[in-house]
Amino acid sequence: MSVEPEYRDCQFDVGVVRLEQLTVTVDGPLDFDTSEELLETVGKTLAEFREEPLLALDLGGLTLCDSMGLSALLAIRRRTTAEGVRLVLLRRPRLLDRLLELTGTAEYLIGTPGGEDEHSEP
Amino acid sequence: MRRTESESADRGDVTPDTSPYPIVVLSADGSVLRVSPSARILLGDVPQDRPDALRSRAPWLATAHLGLADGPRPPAPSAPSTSGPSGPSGAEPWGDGVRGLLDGRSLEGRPVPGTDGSVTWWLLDDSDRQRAERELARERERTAFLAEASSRLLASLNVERCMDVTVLEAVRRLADAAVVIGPNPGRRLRLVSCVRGGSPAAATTTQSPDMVPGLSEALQGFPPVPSRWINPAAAPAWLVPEGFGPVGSMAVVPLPGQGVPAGALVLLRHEDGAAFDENEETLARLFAARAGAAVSSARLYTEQAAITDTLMRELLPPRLQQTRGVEFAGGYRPAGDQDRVGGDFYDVHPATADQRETLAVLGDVCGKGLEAAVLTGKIRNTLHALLPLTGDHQRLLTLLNRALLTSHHTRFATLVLAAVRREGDRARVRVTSAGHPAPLVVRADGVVERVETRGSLIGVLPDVTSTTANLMLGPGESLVLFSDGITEARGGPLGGAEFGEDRLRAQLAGCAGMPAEAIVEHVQMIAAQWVGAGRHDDMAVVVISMPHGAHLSMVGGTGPGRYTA
Repeated sequence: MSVEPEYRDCQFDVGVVRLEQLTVTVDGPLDFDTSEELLETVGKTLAEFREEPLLALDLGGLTLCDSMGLSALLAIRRRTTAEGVRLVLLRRPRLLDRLLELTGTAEYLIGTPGGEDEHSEP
Repeated sequence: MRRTESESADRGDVTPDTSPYPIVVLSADGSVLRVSPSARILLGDVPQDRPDALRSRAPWLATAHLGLADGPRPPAPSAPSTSGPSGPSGAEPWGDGVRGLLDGRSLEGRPVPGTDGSVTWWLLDDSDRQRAERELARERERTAFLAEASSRLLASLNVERCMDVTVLEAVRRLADAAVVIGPNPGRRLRLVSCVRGGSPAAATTTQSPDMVPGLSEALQGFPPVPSRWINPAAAPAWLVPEGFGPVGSMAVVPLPGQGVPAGALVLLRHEDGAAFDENEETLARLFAARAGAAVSSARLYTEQAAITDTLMRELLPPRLQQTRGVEFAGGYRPAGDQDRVGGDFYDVHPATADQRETLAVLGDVCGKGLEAAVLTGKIRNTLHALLPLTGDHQRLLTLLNRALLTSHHTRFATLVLAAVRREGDRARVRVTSAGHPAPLVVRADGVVERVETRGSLIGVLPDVTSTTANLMLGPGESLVLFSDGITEARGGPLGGAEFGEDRLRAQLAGCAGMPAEAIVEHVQMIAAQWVGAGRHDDMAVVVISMPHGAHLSMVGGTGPGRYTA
């Protein structure tokens, strides 16, 4: 079975699971068309689980991240910081790490420049 | 019409009496032989055996009957018929029949020859069918008119053109003259009027809309009052197009816009013409709804275009040229041709007396549309104000970052600063990237190097850091600043591949020694070919080149060195 690559690339999905930690999973491209949806989901999630000390973004399914996507991640970071919630970005694909490095935002978003501790698939 | 069916049935007539259809049997000379009960209802009492009796009731039938005698009379056997309405005798109908009116009903008479020389006329009442057909034709014509008017109205986003089309379409179908009155924000009324066969004429008046019955209400979007309530003589002279003559009837219809009224339409007819009936007023309202939507879309678009134009004058990339013996060239292709201002920008601030370096900036603002344009304007203005500080890029970026930080959003910009200063036949360049793809240097021998600079994006982080690279450009060497719209352009032979930095470097390797303008053209052309007709982001490129050997600008004596050809 073959799926048109462009079509497959455009599938975007945001989900919330709460196992050991509160996790928002992102699948597909994070761009102008989809970043708003992620921001909304994160906003609702933070409002719902007020006492949670940590929010994880599982980015294992991220296929693309443009400037609006990065802007959304920065907005999430700003929001979690304001609410005293620790933000971790799990399973970051290489394309995201490259973008964070290029834009000098790795330290701000991951904590350590490089952030090897939370990098790479488990 | 007085007799009932049961009465006639008593008369004992054979076939016509039992027929559900009206039947009249006429003798060869035209006298009525038998009449079916239903035909009696239609024809009334027609005396029998008098040849001219029928003529007074249905002359068209009598004439047609006598006319049959002139033509060839078909055989009248009782052969079984296979098609068409067959008479009680089973004979074929004779010719196409005849149509005529009787008491306002439309009847079709079909003659069937009898065996005894008589003719049986079947009378079919097709009044209802004819009315339905007329209604259908009228409805089709109305629908066609509305569809055609809509497509003409929607063909333009220009308010004046929309008003012109509105009056032109109105006189084509609805009235002898039409006047569109624009919504009046001020004291003047804007009119566009047109007489059938003429062309639209625009005018303004300071007269009050209260002078026209129903106009003030229509301009406020209230539903129209029926035309018959409006006294056509009340139409003021300024409303009626010149040379129209006395107004016979007038209708005033609002043009409903998107949320706000878009004006009103006044329809005028000549004295000798028919007044507006209910159907026509409905049609006028349907038409006005379409015209109003078109006019208000056009008005919104015009306002938006005016805002964009105002912004654009400030935001369009500048025309670059040679400055102090160094060539600067820039090119920009917005993502969509419709948005002329996009997320990328560039500027060149030439060196001045107190500032020895020329500063080139190329940046990329996150997002698109108006918000991105506003942020772009903010960055360019702030940078301009900070020009005296270009000596220290890190400090300049820190101040810029602080100026842009806001709690409202996390929109950011990435940019590259290149401060250029000529030293003899070479140029010293300090390059700093703030979260932007590092520029490339094209050496004279075709080697392409990436400038080692990096830094944080601007506008979101509390603190920004950056490293500045120092480099020298020799004669024929160039520094290429570009936005990621070029390296991330998707296309190529298979359509989905990223152009990438490697391809850009390979292309630039062939540009060694080329003038700045030519390199910009080349990069833009290659990127455009790569994306083809596909979607792409904003693409901006700025090239700073050190020309070969001597330069003519030095002849003027404004430069610090001596150069010869």
